[in-house]
Amino acid sequence: MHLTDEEKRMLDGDRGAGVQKAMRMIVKVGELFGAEKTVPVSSVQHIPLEPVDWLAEMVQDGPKVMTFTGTHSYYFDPKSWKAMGIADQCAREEEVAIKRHDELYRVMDIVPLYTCAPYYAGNVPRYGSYFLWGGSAGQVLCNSLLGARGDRVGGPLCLAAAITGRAPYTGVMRPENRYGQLLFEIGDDLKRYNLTYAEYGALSYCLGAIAGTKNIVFDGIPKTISQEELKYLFSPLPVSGSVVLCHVVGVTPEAATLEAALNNKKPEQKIVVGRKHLRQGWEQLHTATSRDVDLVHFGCPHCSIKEIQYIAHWLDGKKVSPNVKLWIGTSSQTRLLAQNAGLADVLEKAGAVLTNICISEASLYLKSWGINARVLALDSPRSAHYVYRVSGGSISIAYGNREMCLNAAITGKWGG
Amino acid sequence: MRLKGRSINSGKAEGEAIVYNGPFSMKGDLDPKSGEVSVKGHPLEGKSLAGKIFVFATGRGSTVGPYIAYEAKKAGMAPAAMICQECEPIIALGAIMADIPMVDRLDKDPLATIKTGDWVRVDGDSGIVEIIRQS
Repeated sequence: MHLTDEEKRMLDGDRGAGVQKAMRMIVKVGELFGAEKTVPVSSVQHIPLEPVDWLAEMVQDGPKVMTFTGTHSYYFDPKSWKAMGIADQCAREEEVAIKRHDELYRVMDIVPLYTCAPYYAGNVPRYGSYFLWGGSAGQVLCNSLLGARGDRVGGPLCLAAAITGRAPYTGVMRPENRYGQLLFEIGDDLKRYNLTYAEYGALSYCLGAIAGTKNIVFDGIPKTISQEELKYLFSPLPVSGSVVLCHVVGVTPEAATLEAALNNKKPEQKIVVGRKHLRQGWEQLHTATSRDVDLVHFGCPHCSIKEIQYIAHWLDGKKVSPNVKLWIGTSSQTRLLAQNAGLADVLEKAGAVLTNICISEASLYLKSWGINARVLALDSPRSAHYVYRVSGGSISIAYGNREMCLNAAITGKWGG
Repeated sequence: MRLKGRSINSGKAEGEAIVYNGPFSMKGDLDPKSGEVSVKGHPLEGKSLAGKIFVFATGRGSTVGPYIAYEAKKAGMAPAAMICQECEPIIALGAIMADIPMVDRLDKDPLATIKTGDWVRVDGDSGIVEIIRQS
């Protein structure tokens, strides 16, 4: 692997043992996965669930990060735990843990974004630039919609990239690996009407499993598709599969035409997708064992201000059932915006809570926090998949459209 | 018997093999405090990987996996070494971050050659794996 003089100095320990460890990791991963060089990264998303003693070891010489770095979502929110109904004693323990991390992040210049959708909160990599993000939903959106280039990597490599400003040149960072391999053509039975978020999600959840690690091209998606709808289309693909790049013909920047997306080649495989795929995805995601809903959650990935606006207008003048919790996941920045726009007031009056937690991570702790949750109503395939599996099936999922979930929040019943 | 592969992370270890014929995720599949496989219905459910030579197909799953490997190592409950058919980035980073000797791409399929209970020596520097004693 070719290294610049500066990289060699980092590897030799000239900038301290933490930077040396980080550079070693980058070189090792580069050698294993066929990189002949490193590239500069302009944006990093760090996963804050790291062991704190490892973090301390990496920053022992007090280095600041070399490139813009923010934090991914976490399972606990110091600002909303009370409204969420988390027991005091548990919350205090979590606050101590998150404070230790935050102090180190401040020293390192890591920005506490705490969101899985940092493109709504100030971390937006430019077209053609290199990024390393933890969190697979962000990886696929940045590659596909923004046209920035980042490979599917694990948490520690993101921190190593933040500390050194470099990343190994692998996978979809290389232009030759960015073309579509698998073509999904939208069939006539799906073209007749507009799909909801949950329908886009269920369709993609089914298709991700077919795609595995391949780059996808969608042909036949309406050119009027919104950014939020694209979020629901992209984010299930690395859950049921390991997709990191998904072109949409006429919509995403590297797919002006079908030919451009496929590099003028035939796809390895073409599949006409229809209602049967959507139905199959939906049936896998809907696992509810009872019609009594305990908790409704929106925001996987985190909601945009537009999504919060919709929910607030729908709830205006209504009340969440006393037997149900309604949590809306978003970044702290978008929450502030919702407060400034008067939407947070409407939500609070209705009994909903704005929070920046990750529901999939938090579902591990609900029981110990004293929160009864046997049935969750969700409109996101990511959280529907992870919450069900992480809980070993003890939390089941009512999967449906936003209106179905909102109705359940008001009535306490699925379909009631 | 002696097998030759590619070094993923350096270091030497020997111990009893535990073999799993599938992809493994440290996040979700492993309890880092006990070193046991914690998933209901998993073929290795309740079995400990602590101090063992863990032989499996490849890695998969969440990008948080390497953090879990590190926690298991700090708790003294990590595998002594890991061998897989073909590693992917997440499990490779787990080995590197937790400093667990690891080898892949052996000249004979490790899942067919090594059996649970065999005594195995792994040299993560040279990529050499020796089966010292068969169970």
